[in-house]
Amino acid sequence: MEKNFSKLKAEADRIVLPDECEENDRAVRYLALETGVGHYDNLNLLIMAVLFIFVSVAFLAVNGGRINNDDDEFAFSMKTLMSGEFTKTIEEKYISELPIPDEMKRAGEYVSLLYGFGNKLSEKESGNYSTASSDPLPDSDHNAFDRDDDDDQGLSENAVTTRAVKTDKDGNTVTEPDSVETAPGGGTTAVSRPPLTASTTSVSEEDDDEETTTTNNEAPSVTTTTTTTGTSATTESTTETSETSETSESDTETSEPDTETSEPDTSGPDTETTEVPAETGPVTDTGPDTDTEPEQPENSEGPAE
Amino acid sequence: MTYTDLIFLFGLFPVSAVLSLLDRSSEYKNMILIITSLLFFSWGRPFAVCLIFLTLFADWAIGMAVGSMREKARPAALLLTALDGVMNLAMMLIFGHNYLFEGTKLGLEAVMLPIGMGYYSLRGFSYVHDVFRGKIRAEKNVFCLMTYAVSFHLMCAGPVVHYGDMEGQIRSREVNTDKLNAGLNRLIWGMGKAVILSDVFMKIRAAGLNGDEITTMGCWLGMLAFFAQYYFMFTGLCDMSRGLSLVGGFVLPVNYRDIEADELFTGLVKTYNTTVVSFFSDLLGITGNNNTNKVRTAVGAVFCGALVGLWYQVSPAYIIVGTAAGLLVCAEQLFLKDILAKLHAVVKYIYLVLASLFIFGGLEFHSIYGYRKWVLGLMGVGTKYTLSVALRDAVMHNYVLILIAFCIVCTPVRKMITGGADKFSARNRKAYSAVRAVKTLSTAAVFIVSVITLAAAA
Repeated sequence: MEKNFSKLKAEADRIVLPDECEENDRAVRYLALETGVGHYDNLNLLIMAVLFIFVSVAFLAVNGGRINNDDDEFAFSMKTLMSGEFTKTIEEKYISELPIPDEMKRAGEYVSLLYGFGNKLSEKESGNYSTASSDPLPDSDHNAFDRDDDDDQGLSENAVTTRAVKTDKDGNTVTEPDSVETAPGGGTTAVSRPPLTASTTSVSEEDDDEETTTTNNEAPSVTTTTTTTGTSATTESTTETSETSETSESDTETSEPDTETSEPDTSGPDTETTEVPAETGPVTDTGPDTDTEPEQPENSEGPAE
Repeated sequence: MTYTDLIFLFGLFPVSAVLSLLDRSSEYKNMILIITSLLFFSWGRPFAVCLIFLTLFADWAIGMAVGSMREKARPAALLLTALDGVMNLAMMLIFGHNYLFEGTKLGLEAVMLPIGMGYYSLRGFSYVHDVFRGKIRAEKNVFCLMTYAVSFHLMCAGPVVHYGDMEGQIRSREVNTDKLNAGLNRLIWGMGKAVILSDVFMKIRAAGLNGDEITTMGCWLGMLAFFAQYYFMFTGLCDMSRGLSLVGGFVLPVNYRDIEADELFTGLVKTYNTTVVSFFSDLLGITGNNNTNKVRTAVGAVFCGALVGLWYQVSPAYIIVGTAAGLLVCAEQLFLKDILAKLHAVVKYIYLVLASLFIFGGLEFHSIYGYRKWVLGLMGVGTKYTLSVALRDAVMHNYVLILIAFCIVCTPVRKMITGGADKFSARNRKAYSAVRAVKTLSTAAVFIVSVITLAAAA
């Protein structure tokens, strides 16, 4: 018995496995892989479909907290349909009722941190936080190349001039000469161009004794602040913000209530950038109807390269 | 409504997809597709619905007439085909290029104007044209033609598909898990391109070209960003279009291709909006591989370039740019090709970039003056500074996305990455699992980031 077993074993050892077996093994592995492909495809489909359906349902069903009861606007009629008001109302309602809109904006800012260096989170409490729009473009229609009158001769985009219309004791206007602001040395100077623009106008109706005008000479990123400071307690202010601003670092402060004028800080070689604070003192007040506030000025970087 | 509207992506599209899956018959799917497409097409513009029905029925009737007459009374069929061409051209001009009629009686408010009229008109005319040429038979079922004409899959960024290519799918198609999976993936990656990458390059372009200060780097990077912005917007919408189609059971042809240096400028112009370029080439009879009539093909390329430019926008800049592109294609066909073919691939890429910059850069400017100023700016003439802080910030704030965009656009780099992943996944099952997991996770991440970006901007 044992002898027979040894004999059989010896014979079995002599048999060389044919190549087909190896190919079979390979085919089995390939089939397993194919099964894996199907498996992962299904898993992928499941995940994407669930994500899609989850977001769709969340956006349709979850209310952002702003309940709109103006059912009259939502009324369906041939007139509203043909004028496009009906579909417009539906779309506006849909967008206005997106869930957690503030958190979405916040999440958008956090995500943008991954995009590169220097992205910042806006601070909700500081007044920089804009709920109306996220990072609008400056003036994408503006094209510097198509402008024929480009002879601004140094008063270019980043030359920020702070002018104050001074009045003397007799009430006469004192005019100051314009300062020509050019980059020292010119050439390869990186200039500060705030990509975004704020236009703030504050008007006090009484006692127009004093007027301060701050102008960022950089179209499209023009920041203009006109403040008329009054001595009366009754002050009416209006703030118009066309676009939020990333303005330059402060070298000059605009008028305080008890300051007559603000003058450009022309000391030092880097006089081309001047900070334009979004808030120009206690007189400037953001109107209740304003959704956005001009951003606090950020750093302007002088010649960098 | 466009593909990147939230109300479409998470309102109309899921509803359409789910309703389509409720029944397997193609007729039912077509009906759902027609209803949702009309909603998409006429959103906020009910006037457009009437318009579609009118021209659609006109195309259908003319097609039937041409089909019956094309052999017996060919001149009459030709006349009818020309009539259909005029009608579709008028539609495209009045509703697609309504800025031409501003201040006249034909000037319409923006809310009245339907989207995608360029593609819609081409589809309508191509149907009748194909019937006339005998490529297809005239369609008797108006609903099949309606499915082809108004399908939202084809509305935003093409492709311009011929009815003959779609007929079989319109009559019978099935939606399976493979199509759903591929469709959703393509849709999400397309959304990422259109929403995330295009937006980044829009910022860089604005910082480089749209400020008041002209800088040397602004001229270069701003214009490259201008190309990248439209490239990613277009290819993103094309991907979304193909993804939406796959979810609906259709398989559409590609509308853009990889940029290959060996194909030179001729290949480059064919990579973008491929089906539109093919349509006009076909119309002018310059598609054949007939090497015997090289001159005719080369001259046809000039006309084709001008026509495509006109189709995009009726303005001198577009006509000039289209003609210039056609001229370079013509020159390549006649003699340049043989010279350039001997150059190294890197030199060919440089040639492509420079040719694109100087020809298509003209689209950004409204006057020769602006173009000249920009060309001088590229060489540092007339610029006071090299780089603006705004441009530097725009680049630095988004450099990760710029790198990703580069990997997508640069075919050799992309092939290296995907080839490496394929090789790695072929090692063993574990490696394959890892690669698939990374793919799924990155797709999900792109989806989430795109949704957040869209919702934050809403």
